[in-house]
Amino acid sequence: MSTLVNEAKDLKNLPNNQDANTPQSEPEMSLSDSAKVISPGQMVLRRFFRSKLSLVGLITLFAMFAFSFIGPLVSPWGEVQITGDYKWVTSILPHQIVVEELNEETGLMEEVTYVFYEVSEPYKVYAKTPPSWEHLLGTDQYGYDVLTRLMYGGRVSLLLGFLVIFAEVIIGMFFGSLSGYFGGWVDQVIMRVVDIFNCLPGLPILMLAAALIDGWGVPARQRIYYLLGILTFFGWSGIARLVRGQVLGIRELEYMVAAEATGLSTKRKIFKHIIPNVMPQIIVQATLGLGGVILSESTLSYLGIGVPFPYAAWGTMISSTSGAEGRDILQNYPNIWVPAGVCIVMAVLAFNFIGDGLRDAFDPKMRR
Amino acid sequence: MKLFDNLQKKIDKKKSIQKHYISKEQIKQTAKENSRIIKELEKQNNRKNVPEEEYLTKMRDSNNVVEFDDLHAYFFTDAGIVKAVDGVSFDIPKKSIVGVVGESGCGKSVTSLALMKLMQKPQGQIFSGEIRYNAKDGKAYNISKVPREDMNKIRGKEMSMIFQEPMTSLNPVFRIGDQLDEILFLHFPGITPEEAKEKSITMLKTVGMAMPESVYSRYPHELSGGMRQRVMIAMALSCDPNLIIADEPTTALDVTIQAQILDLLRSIKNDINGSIMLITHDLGVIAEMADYVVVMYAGRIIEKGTAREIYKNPQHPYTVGLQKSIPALNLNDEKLYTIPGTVPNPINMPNYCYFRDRCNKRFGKCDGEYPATIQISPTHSVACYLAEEIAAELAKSKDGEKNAKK
Amino acid sequence: MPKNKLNQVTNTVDQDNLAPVEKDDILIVKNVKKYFPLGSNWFKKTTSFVKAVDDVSFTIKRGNTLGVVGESGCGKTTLGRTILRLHSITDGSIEYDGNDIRTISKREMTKLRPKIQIIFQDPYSSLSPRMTIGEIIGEAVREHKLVPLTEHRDYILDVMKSCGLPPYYYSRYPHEFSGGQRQRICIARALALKPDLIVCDEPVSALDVSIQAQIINLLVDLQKKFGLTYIFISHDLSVVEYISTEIMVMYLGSVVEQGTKEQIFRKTMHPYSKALLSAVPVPDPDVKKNRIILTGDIPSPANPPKGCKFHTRCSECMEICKSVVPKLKEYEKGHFVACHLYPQD
Repeated sequence: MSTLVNEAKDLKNLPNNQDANTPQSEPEMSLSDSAKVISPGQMVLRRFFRSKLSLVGLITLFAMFAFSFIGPLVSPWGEVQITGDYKWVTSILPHQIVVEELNEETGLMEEVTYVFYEVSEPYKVYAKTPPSWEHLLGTDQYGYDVLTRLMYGGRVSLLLGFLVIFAEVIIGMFFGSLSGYFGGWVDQVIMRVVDIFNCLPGLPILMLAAALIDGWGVPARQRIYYLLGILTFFGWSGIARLVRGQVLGIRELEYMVAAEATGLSTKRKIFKHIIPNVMPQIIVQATLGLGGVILSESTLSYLGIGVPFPYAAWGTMISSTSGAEGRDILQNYPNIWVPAGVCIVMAVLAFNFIGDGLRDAFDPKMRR
Repeated sequence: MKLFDNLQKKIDKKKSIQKHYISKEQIKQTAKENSRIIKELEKQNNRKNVPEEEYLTKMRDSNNVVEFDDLHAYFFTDAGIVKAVDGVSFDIPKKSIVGVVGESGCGKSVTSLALMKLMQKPQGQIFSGEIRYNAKDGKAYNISKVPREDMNKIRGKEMSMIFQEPMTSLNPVFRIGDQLDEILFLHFPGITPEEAKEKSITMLKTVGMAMPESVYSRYPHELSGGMRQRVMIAMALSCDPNLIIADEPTTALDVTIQAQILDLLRSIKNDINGSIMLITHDLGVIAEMADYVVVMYAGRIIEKGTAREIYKNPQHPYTVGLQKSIPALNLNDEKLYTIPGTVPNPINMPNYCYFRDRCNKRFGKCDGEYPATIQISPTHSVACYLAEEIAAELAKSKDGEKNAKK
Repeated sequence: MPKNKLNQVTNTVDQDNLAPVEKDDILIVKNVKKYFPLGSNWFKKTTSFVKAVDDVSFTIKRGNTLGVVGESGCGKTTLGRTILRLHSITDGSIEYDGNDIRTISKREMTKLRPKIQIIFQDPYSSLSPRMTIGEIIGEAVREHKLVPLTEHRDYILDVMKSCGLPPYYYSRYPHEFSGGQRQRICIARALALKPDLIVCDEPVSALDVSIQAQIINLLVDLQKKFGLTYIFISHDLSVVEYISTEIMVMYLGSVVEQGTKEQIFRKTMHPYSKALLSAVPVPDPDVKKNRIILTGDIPSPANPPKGCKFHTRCSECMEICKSVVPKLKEYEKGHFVACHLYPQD
């Protein structure tokens, strides 16, 4: 820092002595030519990394990503691979066959569904084994490796979380900036729609939708994407409201009036002046929202309308405590459901820490 | 060879860039060091049940209300220590108005906040030096040593403050009357609500409110800026303070309202029999109001004296420059005088005169260390080598005259 | 080579100008009114207005500076922004170089925008924090295609130089700069568009005294160099006196006195102007002025007093002032006053 001052002084030494009355030759010097340029973004990052809590969040998040996306490549077990004494199980998904058969009691032909499991040999499934070197977190009631399923569950949660938030931000920003910038009836219409969206109860609608989607015959595996689509559809309103508020504030600032006075086009005003200045708030909101999406996804899975059974999701793993064997698992096998719960908590906390860290880093004190 | 040169140049440039920014280790170190000092100072501040003797002191001159003695008030930031007030000494005599002028960031507000012990904690701390305060009961307190708990007794009752922003200094959810009464309840335990109301209304009348009763039951947002500033003054007056600190009291107001408020301040000074410390950047306001003027620059006092001395016989080139750069009414100069450059970086101040780089009267001596304060008259002092030179010459010529007479 | 560019452009503008209007008058404002709707009834019909600018007329000659003074809420800022059509104009006409700003189409207005620029009071909120200085200054130049793209950077650096900004500021962000430097950047942004008229809305009020002088000198120098016309809005009378050639005193949306600098400051006629002048603190402890202190506050512009708007605070208020609005009358060449103290017929 001291060199900075010295250098500024050196620069000034030359012309200064002669005449102090020429202001133009004497610009105010506080930075020297060679000092590095820091953009506002870099400043934010600097502040962000200074906070320990946000670093903890970031590291946790990275660890979880590595765990979910690299872990399965390393793990010896598959998502739906049953451990047991058997040669090979080709699929544990049941085959359904519908046959017309004579009902002996009524003497009529009826449709009867037969379900086959393809198993090469009779086998004994190692279900609910305690943690061992082979299965670090043991196996669940179907004989799946808990750790491996945690990884696959993480894939679903993290990926879907980002997808949903991304879509929400795009839609929310679009309608929010339209509403804030143009005002008038555009604003009225969009904001009333947002109001309606805000007063719809989320969970019941999703449950209804799940039933409907099943009714349309959508494969169970794809149901979660539909549901999250609906989640997005209802979720953008919050971001739109936030963006609108911000835009309304920025529109009154003098640099916007200056942009108007210099005759810039509307497109440029929105994309070059408004959006970059709303971004901080959106990023914070989105990061904080990610935790929420992960929670909703887990809730849906827990309720059985999310990721369908044989596939792994954190919520489904916890819901193993609610089935027929639920009480037994709840009491005696915490290794089956506690890790999933811990993962959810960690992911949500990590996102919240990062969000808080970003918010502090973006603090409006930045202006000076 | 050329390639090598280019490489070397690049490396040099990178190095020079690195020099301008503090490394992470440095930040860590300063942060650690800072938190240690802050902890120590805060511990002093937060002590409870401290015997009074510890912070009682003696005034140098019993005619002064406040004596600042080599006050150092610092802000401990991660980038380094900001010496906002760096060795400031001046007195506020009884029944006088002392004006403190300077540009933003010169430490004039921090000086007053240090006096009230209202510096932003924990970074802002009085590092060393004394502020002696002559209380109404004849005791003299050393404010810098008074723990936070006991400071509440002095604040408000002994000295009070008027802030710049009348819009934000009043709580918008309470009526004016409630806010005025609250202070009275706080400082005069046992006062009845009726008495408090009566006193508050008298206070509002004192500050020239046209309809004190109706103002008493109104909310701040119903009043204009000038009226709010009057309410603020009424609040400051309500406990008969010895000293009123007015921090830019008229900067946010219109000229005509400013004239009203200044007029009011002048008249209440006579009424309360106390002193006013007037902080402002407006030389015109100071000239009209102040008996004594203190000119600050970058945390230090560069010149002080009576108003007449400062305006009629300014010694420091900065004071001269400031006065010349205001476009005064009815003065038609070809071009406005300007002081080039800006105030230096408050962290790591140079060890020579802080004004040297902007000064148009710089000469050889100025490369030396920060100039000592020299006394020009009993009340007028200045920290500048140029004045020293002139004083020395004067003394010489006087000696010469004496010799000649002999 | 790029040095001369700015000069060239101002020259070409002069030639363009020979057409309709009298050559000297750059801006003719006639009976301009700007009302902001305040309340409205159930059927969205506005019932009350804030008359921010109420029937203001003036003319500025090219190269002159019109100072607009008044207290806060007197409509001076609104007037400035109305001239740029940043607000819609309620009534009256604003003629700039033969174009009526009130009636021309949006597209024509966009074309005209570079010619009239504005500088704001708060140098902190008038620069977008996420753009570099080069972008801020050059953005609109690019938009209006004022210089060929190949010369763009040189041109911007040239403008920066004439505003006293060193070239390395080009790629820096506003947060690194102090108020004075930011104000220079704002001036450069306006200047880069080769304007004829700049509305300066309290450009030095937020600055320190020593920096204030630097900016004022810069404005004066630029005016001489490029032949600019200023509308200088300020509440600081001493600054206005320094920089202006003509002065207009406003009170609650109306002009109370208007004239040359000498007329306003030496031959002050309106009691409000007199009070304003006497309220300015003089930086000299020996001058003890005979001060006229106005009582009370400025009335709300939403509900201005009847008759002469100033009568509630006027020390020389007569009966007639309370009921009859005084007309703005010329008492000397170019010196207009609206007051009943002087013969109205």
